[in-house]
Amino acid sequence: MFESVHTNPLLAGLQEDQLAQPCTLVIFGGGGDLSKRKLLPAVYNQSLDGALPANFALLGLSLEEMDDERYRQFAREGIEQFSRQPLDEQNWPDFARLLHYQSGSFDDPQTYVRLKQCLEQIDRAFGIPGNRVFYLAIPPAFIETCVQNLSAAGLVYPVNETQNFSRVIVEKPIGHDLQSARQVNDVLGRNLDESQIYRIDHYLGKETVQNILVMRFGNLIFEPLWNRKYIEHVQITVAESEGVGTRAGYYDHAGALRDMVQNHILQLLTLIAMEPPWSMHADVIRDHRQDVLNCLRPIPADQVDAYVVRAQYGQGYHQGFDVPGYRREEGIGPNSTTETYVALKVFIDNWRWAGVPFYIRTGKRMTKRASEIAVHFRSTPPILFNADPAKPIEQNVLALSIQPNEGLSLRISTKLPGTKVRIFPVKMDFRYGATFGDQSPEAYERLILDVMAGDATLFMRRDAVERSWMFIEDILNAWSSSGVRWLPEYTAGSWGPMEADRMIEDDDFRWRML
Amino acid sequence: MADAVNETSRDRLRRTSQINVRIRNIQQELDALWAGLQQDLNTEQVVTRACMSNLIIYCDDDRQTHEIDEALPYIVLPHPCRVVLLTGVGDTGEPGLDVFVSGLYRQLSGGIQVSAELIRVIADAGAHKRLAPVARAHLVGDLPTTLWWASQEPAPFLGEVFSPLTAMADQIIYDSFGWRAPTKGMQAMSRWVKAQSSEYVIYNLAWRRLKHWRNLISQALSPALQPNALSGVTRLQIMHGPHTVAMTSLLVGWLASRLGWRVEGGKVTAGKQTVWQFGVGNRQVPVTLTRLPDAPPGPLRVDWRWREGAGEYRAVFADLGADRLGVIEADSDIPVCLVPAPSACEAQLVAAQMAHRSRDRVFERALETGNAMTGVLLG
Repeated sequence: MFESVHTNPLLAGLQEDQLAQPCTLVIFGGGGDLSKRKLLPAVYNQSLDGALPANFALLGLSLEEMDDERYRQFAREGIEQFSRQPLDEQNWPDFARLLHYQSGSFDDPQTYVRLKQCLEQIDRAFGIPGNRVFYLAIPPAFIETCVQNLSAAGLVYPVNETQNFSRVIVEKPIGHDLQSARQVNDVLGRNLDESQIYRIDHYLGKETVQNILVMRFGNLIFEPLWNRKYIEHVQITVAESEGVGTRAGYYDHAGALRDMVQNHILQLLTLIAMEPPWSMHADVIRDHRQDVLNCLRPIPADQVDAYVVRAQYGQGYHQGFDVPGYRREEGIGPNSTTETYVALKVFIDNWRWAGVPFYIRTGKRMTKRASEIAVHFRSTPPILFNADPAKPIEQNVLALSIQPNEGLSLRISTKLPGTKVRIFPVKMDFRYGATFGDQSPEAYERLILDVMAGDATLFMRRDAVERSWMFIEDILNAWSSSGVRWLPEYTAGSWGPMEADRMIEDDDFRWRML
Repeated sequence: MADAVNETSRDRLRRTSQINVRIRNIQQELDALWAGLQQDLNTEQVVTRACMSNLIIYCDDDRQTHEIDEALPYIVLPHPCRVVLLTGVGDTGEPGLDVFVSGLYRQLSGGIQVSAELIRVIADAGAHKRLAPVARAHLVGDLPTTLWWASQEPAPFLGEVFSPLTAMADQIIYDSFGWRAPTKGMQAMSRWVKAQSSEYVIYNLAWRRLKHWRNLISQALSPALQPNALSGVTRLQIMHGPHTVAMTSLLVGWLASRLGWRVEGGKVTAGKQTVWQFGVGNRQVPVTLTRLPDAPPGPLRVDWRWREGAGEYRAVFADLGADRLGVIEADSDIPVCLVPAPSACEAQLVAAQMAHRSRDRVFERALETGNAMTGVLLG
């Protein structure tokens, strides 16, 4: 049920900070890695910050046999290791009593029968009016059976027929291509209303990502320049320094394009490129993001090589140690043609962005872990200080750093002190951590609270997922029909392959050094 | 919990030495302070500053100034600002005003981040009227200004200092905790707030202290869970510790203003108990406030009773210590529960409030109702 000031006058003034509604959070895969590293610490931090609703409980559900006490220990270990705020012994017993566990197989209908009984007991014990958030932190193959069973067991309330809510959070990836994404969405759609589905992309919960809209539409100075007339090109980089690690099984079937571009990076692109929304309502924001995806210029099969570069990391160094190339990683076949790096040049064919290239690159085993969106403005006219072609003035660059140091920087030209006019670029840096001192909440903290509050702004709608796949699929099809047996390599610990440098240098630009 | 956070904040900021300066040299000395920091760094490191606000703090005396000065890291770490710390009556080297400047900064890998430039101005007994002009001349332009009235005297009682300071502020923060004459103070403050135009954001820290109480009560008595708990209220009893009459009255003022109760009468009994009669529809609801002199400050226990059909129901909310509030008894189907209520020191509350720059109408209505309640008591 959505409570408002009209139904509860005491909520006035509290809603700004306290939107989350009373509910039980059920984590499918509650005994798994995501739960331990991210979800349980996120909920714990919400508790420390006093952000959880008074009537709240959490139930972990996994195959592993555990009782509540063992699960609380599991949660404690995760919190001690991964929480943003340290575990507080004084508060721990109060938090621990909110945690419950049920073991069961996701494809066994009896699991859901027992789950329903367990939730009803929790509702009574914690005064929860039947509201549920189901977090599916499970392999994609289980999504279908899970939502079907939830629905069959009566754990999903029909929208508008009851005051209570049931919401389902679905982790990426949604499918591995357009067809499978549609299948997943069809399954979700058959069992849930779209308003009950929260497709999570944790990138959208990051502070800088949320700040993109504030920066663009909360300041007057940027928006007049935010178009093809003043922006020369945009670079989006999501670089990881780690290799494939323990995710070989998944990653070798996915690759960088599916793993990063289809979801995270295209969502970042939509925030940078969207038109000003007329309201902050979730669907208005999502409609405007969708408009960007609709305007992405498809890359025809015969031009994929001109617009997309893929590569694999070869042997190299990471933090001073030798590291193997991708095909020598454990769990990866020696003939794998899965890309660990991808660079794209994309265009958004609308009035604002016509002709402005957006360069995207992402990869594993790159020089360092860094995610950034850099907006390169056009040069000043070739007169006055920019008159000498041999000494061009550096353009202004607005860079939004997403990780590891969230913040933004602006490069401007300035005169060096002295009697002569010597111009030098200066970077003005703004870092959240340094400026505001306190740590920002983790993305999952914000996103889980949003679901409890029924705010879908930062979640992906069905049309966005499918449109992203549609764009990506042209590239995937071209790759699969190319029959290549070998991909270009880049040295582990470098910024990527020469082919990607060539792609951008052909346009007289260069990749940024982060 | 709050102590742990405070220690962390305190440790993360360093302080430059305090320099005694003439008023006309304040800006020059602050600039020198920056330059001095830069000299200590290598060539690749820089001094940077982010400044979000001006913060003027008015203290009564040296002791209070010292306490607040020590607590400044809790404010300027999350909210970098220029701080003008004013002492109403303190020890000055020479007659008139004494001024010191210093800085608070963080050492980062890339250099130094200045979190605050601090100007401390101390007046002797005859010079406190000269504090405001010094503050005015040293605010950073184009930034909002917050006045934290830290004095133990309600601001309207010290109008000749308070008024010129308010003229340069966008936001005024005060704290009714520990007021020597809480009832008169509440009335004076409420009248003053009412007389202001809409330009100020006025805020009592007691209101922020009540936030966890408001959260818990509003959720536990939600009409969605207990359909008649709010509308069918029959009686309310609140026990509170010392120095928190104004805070507890604000809690009642909030409930009354939000739920449409009309104050119809009130009396103080035995010095420790105040009983108000509120009109709710055509019923009367007695609200009793009982002060427990040996208890910790703040609301301790809220006993809420209501009628539904022929049944009487009850929920008791309590401060359980160790930063927790909870429902401890319930003759209803409200479950006994605990919620974290992280405590915060005064400076942390100020820091949190500085981020809120729009008027809080719910607070203002609660204050207004609290004033109406006081008016009934004072006749």
